Amino acid sequence: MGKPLPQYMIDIKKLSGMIGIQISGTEVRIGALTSVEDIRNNQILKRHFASLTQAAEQFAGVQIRHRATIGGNICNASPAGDLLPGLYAADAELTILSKGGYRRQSIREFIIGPGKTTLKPGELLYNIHLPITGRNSKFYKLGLRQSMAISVVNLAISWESSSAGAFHFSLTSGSVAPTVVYLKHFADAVNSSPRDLDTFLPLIDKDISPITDIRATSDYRRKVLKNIVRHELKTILEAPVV
Amino acid sequence: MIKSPLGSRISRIDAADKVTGKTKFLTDMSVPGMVYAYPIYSSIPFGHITDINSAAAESLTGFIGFYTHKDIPGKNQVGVILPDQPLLVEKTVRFMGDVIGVVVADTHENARKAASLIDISYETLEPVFTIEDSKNSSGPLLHETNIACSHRVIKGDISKGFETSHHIIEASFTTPVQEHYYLEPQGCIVIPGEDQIYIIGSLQCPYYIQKAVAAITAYAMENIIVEQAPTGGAFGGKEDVPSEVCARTALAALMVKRPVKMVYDRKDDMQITSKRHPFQMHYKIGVSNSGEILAAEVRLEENAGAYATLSSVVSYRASIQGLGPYRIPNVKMESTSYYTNLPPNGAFRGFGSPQAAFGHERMMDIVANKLGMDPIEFRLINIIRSGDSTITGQELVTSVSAEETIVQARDAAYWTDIRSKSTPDSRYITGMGIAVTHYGNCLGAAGWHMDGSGASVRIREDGQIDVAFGLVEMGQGALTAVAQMTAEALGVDISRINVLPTRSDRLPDSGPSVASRNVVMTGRAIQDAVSKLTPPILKAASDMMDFPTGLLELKNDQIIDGQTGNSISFDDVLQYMFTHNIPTQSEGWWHVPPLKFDPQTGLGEAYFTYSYATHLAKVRVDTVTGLVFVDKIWAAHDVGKAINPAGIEGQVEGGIAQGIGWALTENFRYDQGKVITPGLTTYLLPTAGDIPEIKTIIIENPAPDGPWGAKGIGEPSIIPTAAAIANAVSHALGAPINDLPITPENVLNLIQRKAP
Ligand SMILES: Cc1cc2nc3c(=O)[nH]c(=O)nc-3n(C[C@H](O)[C@H](O)[C@H](O)COP(=O)(O)OP(=O)(O)OC[C@H]3O[C@@H](n4cnc5c(N)ncnc54)[C@H](O)[C@@H]3O)c2cc1C
Repeated sequence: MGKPLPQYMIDIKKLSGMIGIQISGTEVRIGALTSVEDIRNNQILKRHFASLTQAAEQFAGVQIRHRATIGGNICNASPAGDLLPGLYAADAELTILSKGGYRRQSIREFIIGPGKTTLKPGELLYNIHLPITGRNSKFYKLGLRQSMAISVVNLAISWESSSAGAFHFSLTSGSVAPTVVYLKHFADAVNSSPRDLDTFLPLIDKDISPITDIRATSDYRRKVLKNIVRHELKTILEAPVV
Repeated sequence: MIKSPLGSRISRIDAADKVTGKTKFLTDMSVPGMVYAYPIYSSIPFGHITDINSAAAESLTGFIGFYTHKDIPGKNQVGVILPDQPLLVEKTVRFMGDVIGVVVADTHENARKAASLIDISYETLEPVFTIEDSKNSSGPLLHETNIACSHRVIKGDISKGFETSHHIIEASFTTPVQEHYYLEPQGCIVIPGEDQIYIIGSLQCPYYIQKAVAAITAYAMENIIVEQAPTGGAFGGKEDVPSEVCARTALAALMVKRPVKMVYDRKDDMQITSKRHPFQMHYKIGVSNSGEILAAEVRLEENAGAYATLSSVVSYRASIQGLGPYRIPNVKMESTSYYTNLPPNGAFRGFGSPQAAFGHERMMDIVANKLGMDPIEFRLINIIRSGDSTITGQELVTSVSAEETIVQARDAAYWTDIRSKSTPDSRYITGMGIAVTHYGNCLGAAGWHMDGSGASVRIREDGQIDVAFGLVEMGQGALTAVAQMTAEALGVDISRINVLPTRSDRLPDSGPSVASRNVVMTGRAIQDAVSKLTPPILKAASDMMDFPTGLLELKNDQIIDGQTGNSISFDDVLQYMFTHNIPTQSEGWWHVPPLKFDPQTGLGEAYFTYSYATHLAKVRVDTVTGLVFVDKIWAAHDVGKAINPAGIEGQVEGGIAQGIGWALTENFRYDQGKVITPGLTTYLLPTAGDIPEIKTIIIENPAPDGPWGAKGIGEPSIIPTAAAIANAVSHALGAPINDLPITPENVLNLIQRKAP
């Protein structure tokens, strides 16, 4: 019947200082209590971090999007969290607040396992920082129904938009390992020779360790992630250069 | 005033209260002094109880009592057809969910907690979960035999039929469990009185409960009063199951001598209660070169779960409908239900029809494919028309519209154009599929003895009219249809009609609200009641107007003299009747006409009339992920007469949504008898986003025995959907989909196996 209830519970959701999305110098700063719905509709994010707005678009359903916060999605540390691949791909940094002051940590160090973070008692996730780099990004979610679905596999891709030919792809994927993972082996290979994409797909297996659960088998996750990566990269590679 | 002649689209009369939250459902209700009960159920699939220790539960604050089979004053039996199911287990538990006892406490939470503290020890037995294991089990049987029931249809000479066939084609199919997932879990409140027990609950048949509770408590049936609370969905899941829920609560109420409420939590509801039977099916069909079906041999096997409950209804109906609405001269059909150590499967929208439809309609496509024929062309060669006989040898004469449903759906969908089109986009492959089905209305020959229902009409002095009916509203729109039919029968405005909640003492045993029988049975009973009420009304008018009754007619709230056109208002006549002490109430009854049927051969009149339907599905298969998207469904239904076309559309859209869920996303699963999809994050009901545009085509070919010609629609709406989708996906892939659900993993495997 779940975990025992603590003696006191504090609802932090209305602390207005922790809600909002702003550009501050060379980064975008998102308050930890910003709702997924606000992320979905935000023009700054749409322009600089499309993978995040796209993830928010496909997140749960409308009621949940209004209640769910980005901070909650991070602290939940679910392997299937939909905002996470985009945040990893954007090299997000987090500020964590406590009585003693602030500490700053990258998201990939903050999340250490399924449901596990470095958050200590007395700490609060305060802000999310996204360095503006001018890179493009997109997000793909595979769920078993059109809304209110936990991802079977999700994927964020970011790439260089300026120099034609050199894409410098970075791929992050969820629901295929205990935490979101970078598909590093595959990305390195494909960045050196994008046209041979098909032959590098097996390298994806080096970075993932999917499990079989109620939603899908590990075999399907391996197979479908490769199909999705292949399809998404081809779409990017074949798009006319602007 | 809302004018509502029969056949016009009107909003549900219960809609406003439901959407504004005014309607009180069972969970919203409480009575003074009420306490709460919760069931304790087996945590193993098969075994003997060796010890029950309730010490920990008893020391919990709020604990009131714990009761087992030993406390039952009457007979410990709730089997609705076969007496194979104890209310509370005495020794042998047969599934995880078999209820052993009931705990009573001061709150629902404490009752649930106390239930979890009852410690039960078992000696385990080797369980069987699949049909094959049940057949081949060398271990202990579940009951005297592992076969719960069987039915057959034997017609003509199949060996001759196959001999003369040019092609003989065989295939096997399987379908999964489906959970009803009614919005509101099982629940009731029982109030014990001096010599009466009053029960209010979320249910489909008050009379079943009356019988079950009388047997358990040893009370006279008349002293058990059962009322239906507004019910948040049922789909068959509240046909027989509430008898158990209410009988356990009644036992608790008698023991503690206080009102007791019991509501199952969703997870426990899913572990304890009935579901749609999984089927495995084998079809062998012989056809001529010209596409005529000459012989069919079919084996249907159903997983009944631990108790027979309503398996025989499912097995019977599947055997009758298992070859669809086609003319087939030589038939051998066998349908058998096997006991397994799973929750008992029972009634679910269609009673085995969607499963059988998946078998026969996949088979029709497979045979058409083999003959190189268009699936519609092949079906039209064999379709049943007026004057033809069903596989049971029943000659159908009136209201036979299978062909019309095919033709209208085909033309609306531009079938030929769309089906032959190649896909412009290489990622997605489109497919078109068809399924054609028939559905025997009401309980049929096997349930004929209980296929009668009543209604009563009482005109009040203020001109309002109270109608009581023996069947129930459970979300399908019965109240609205009953109001419309009463208004129509009397010739008055619908705003006068007030439909009363169903209560067991208002009418004689009218049976369950199942088998799409509500409009048919209640409509005819209303006509019967009104036919007794109209003569005194006309007589009163004739006395007032001084005119022969023969020329008077009740219409538009007036009694009109057909010759002169003179009229007098309904209200004035009522005043006259009340001052002259003329009774203004009557009771009506209708029983399904006699059916000649031989259960040995399965030949004869299986049902008194049939509803026909064709669904066409257009799907898109994603070759990257294997996901299937349903783009559109055309649904042509022959309903005899649409009492409320908006209500028909509601039923069709709801049935299709449930059919899509069963076909694609729901995927109910057990692990060693334990439900591993016990909630909405794992049991994926389709969302609004998963439901495509639905084009409902209503065909009205009146059935002489139906009220104003009406036939049932509640179940026909779900029956063809999954088969049509599977046929569409098979068409898209060029590979057969013979098992449900259609998971992306299986689809992707099929695609990649086919890829060079
Ligand atoms: C029906 C449903 C559908 C869902 N669909 C999706 C989906 O499609 N995709 C998806 O990724 N997730 C989904 N979720 C999961 C969940 O809603 C999200 O992870 C959401 O972002 C959580 O946000 P919250 O604000 O509600 O966090 P909460 O649930 O309130 O918190 C989660 C945890 O984080 C802690 N926490 C929250 N904020 C902070 C903070 N600022 N500092 C420190 N600790 C904090 C809380 O104490 C708690 O332990 C779904 C959940 C439900 C119920």
